[in-house]
Amino acid sequence: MTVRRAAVALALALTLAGCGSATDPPKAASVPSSVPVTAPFKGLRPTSVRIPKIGADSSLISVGLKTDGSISVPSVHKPMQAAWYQLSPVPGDVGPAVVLGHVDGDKKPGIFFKLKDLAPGDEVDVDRSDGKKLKFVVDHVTQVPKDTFPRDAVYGNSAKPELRLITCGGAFDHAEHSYKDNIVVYANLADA
Amino acid sequence: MGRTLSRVAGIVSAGALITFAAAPAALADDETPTSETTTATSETTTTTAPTTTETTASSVPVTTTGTTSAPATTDVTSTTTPGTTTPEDTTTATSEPPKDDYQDNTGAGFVGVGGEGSLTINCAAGAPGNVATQYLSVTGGPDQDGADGRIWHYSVRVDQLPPGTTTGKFSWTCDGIDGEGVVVFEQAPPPDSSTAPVATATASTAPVTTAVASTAPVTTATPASAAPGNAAPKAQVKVAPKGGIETGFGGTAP
Repeated sequence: MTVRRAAVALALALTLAGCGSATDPPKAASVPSSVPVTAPFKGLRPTSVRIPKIGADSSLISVGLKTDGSISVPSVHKPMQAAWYQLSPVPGDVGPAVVLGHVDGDKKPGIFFKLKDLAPGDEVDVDRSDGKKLKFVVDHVTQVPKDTFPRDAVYGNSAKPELRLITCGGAFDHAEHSYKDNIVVYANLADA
Repeated sequence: MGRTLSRVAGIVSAGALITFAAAPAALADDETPTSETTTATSETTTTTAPTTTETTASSVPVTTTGTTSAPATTDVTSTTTPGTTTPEDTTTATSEPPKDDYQDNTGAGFVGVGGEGSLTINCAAGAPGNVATQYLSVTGGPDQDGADGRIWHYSVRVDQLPPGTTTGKFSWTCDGIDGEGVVVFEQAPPPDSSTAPVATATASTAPVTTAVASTAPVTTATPASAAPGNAAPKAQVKVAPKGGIETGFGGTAP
């Protein structure tokens, strides 16, 4: 009797110990956290953006959508890197070309830290891979909640070459590690 | 003998209990305050297999000149309280960026109302192979995402889309392992009553897929006759990203 009870207890103990090890997280596949970009978008694209008034000057990388349908943004560890959304028109072509940059990252100001200080008439310069140098002029600046992001106004068709510069702004939600709003600058191609 | 066994069992039991008691604390240490990511699965009903498509390196940029009515843009005054944080806040742990939600060998496709779009495939091992699509032609790629080299993009255009189709399948291999994803076809809003859209797709045996992944960009209901690719107007932004844009994590913005 005693022997049977001991055997049951031993089996239970071993089972429990087995459960403990089973609850260990499965070994993650060795997926690197980053890999070098050696085959970027090769089509016609913008290569740099400069905004003299706020001292912003960056090369432009091309980004697309992530698998969840949100836009891919430059690494938070490279807050001074701006990006062009490659499913939007190339700046200078008819439509709203979308350029985005961090307001901050890695506890440092980002390339668009002062984007909200832009005002109508301010200049934005964009260079393209075909050698064209374009000048855009700010039309207006808006601050919009992310949860009611005005998709039509920002991404809808336009009759002229336009530019949208987008960054974060508003209150910082510490729980979500995210700003509540987006700052959107609307600019038109000069002499268009 | 019986007593000895009992003692051994007791010691092992105690060890197991200690292990259990320690486990929550150990797990808690690993927890990060980021929101959980959810992976949605979607069922699709198809009767045809994806067609294998050879991809070409040269992309075919399409510049649209359609001048549909431009949406009215209105100046929006700030609707939220202006920044209430100070730079000092950045010294706290809460300024850490969200956890990386990357999942290798997963993919999704997005096609806008103009019938153009993109396939996104996560493959850290390198460019995916054997990309096969349903209802789509691959017109460009593979290109690495400039912000994350593990992400690969292919440009696509609707080839033949049966009316009312909202999703399709695509597949690939990543480092020799098969992968499969869902393409969501964003639908055009209902047409004006004054204009009648023209539906040209006529495949009678084509599959109609109805399930939509919950993580996909929002699509709107539409009549079958407004299927993209033929009657829909060109979209200058081929696919509108989902939601706002996350471009700040430090809490330092003025």
